[in-house]
Amino acid sequence: MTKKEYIYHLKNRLRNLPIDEVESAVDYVSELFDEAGEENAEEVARDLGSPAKFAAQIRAEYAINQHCLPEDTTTVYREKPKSNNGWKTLALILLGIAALPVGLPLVLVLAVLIFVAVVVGVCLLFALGCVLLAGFIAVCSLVYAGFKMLTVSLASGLMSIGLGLIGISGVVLIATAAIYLFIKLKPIVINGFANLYNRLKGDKEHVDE
Amino acid sequence: MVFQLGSALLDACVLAILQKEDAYGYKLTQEAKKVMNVSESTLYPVLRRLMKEGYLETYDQEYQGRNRRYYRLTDSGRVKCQYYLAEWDLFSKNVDSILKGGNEND
Repeated sequence: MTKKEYIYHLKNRLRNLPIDEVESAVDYVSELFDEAGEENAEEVARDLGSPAKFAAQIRAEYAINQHCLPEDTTTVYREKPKSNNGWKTLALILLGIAALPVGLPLVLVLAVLIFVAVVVGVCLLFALGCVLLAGFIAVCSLVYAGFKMLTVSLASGLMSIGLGLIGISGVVLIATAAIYLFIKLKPIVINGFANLYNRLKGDKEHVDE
Repeated sequence: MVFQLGSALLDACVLAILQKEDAYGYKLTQEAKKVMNVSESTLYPVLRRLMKEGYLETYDQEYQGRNRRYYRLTDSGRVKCQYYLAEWDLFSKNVDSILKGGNEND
């Protein structure tokens, strides 16, 4: 692959990143090709690996830096994260892991695990939602029944209303706790994958593309 | 190369290479490849991250009509390099004592 072709493909794969990230990568690659000389272009391209894989690594590192950069470093380059809800970060990290030369079996295993986790997660969420809804309906009807009972027996009616209201607040509390847990867990999961990526990328054999 | 270079060791090596003298991208990767079996595509994200973390800075210099991007350590980069060197001393001594066994002084 020539320098021009390589940079074209690389830019194509990086088009969703900020302009300075793309330029920095292009400058880096340009310099490598220029210094090696035109006659060695093939070797440079081979050493770099395919533009697609290189781009995946760049995107993954970018996503990790955006997400996990510690607050107390005196960095000049820290950019404000865009409206990133974390899922995009996770997707980029997973792409980066897939780009590493760790072999197809591992990628397949990871893919299956992730799929299963997603299915289980969705089912659990759905189940939780149903339970909460059922509970909510139950306690609301308790309050309603309580009001109806007021005319018959004031004490029973009030107790029913009271219990119902306690029940409603209980349901709301559980729902809030579930949402809070979910928000807290997400960065932990993403950090876990980021660490996996960092652990895997270490040493690289030359891959003949 | 039998042993994997973890991400921290990659950082350490890059910082150590630059501690000796500033280097432009191509030269840096050539130096790195002498001692580690890494590709340029592995090194680029390392350089980028070290820069974002404030350990490296870059400057450009013209050479034969081309532009060379030089990397150099910042003050915090120098500190980090020392830190890594100390950690490596400790680590390599421990590994040595296990792998080579024999002369246990403690």
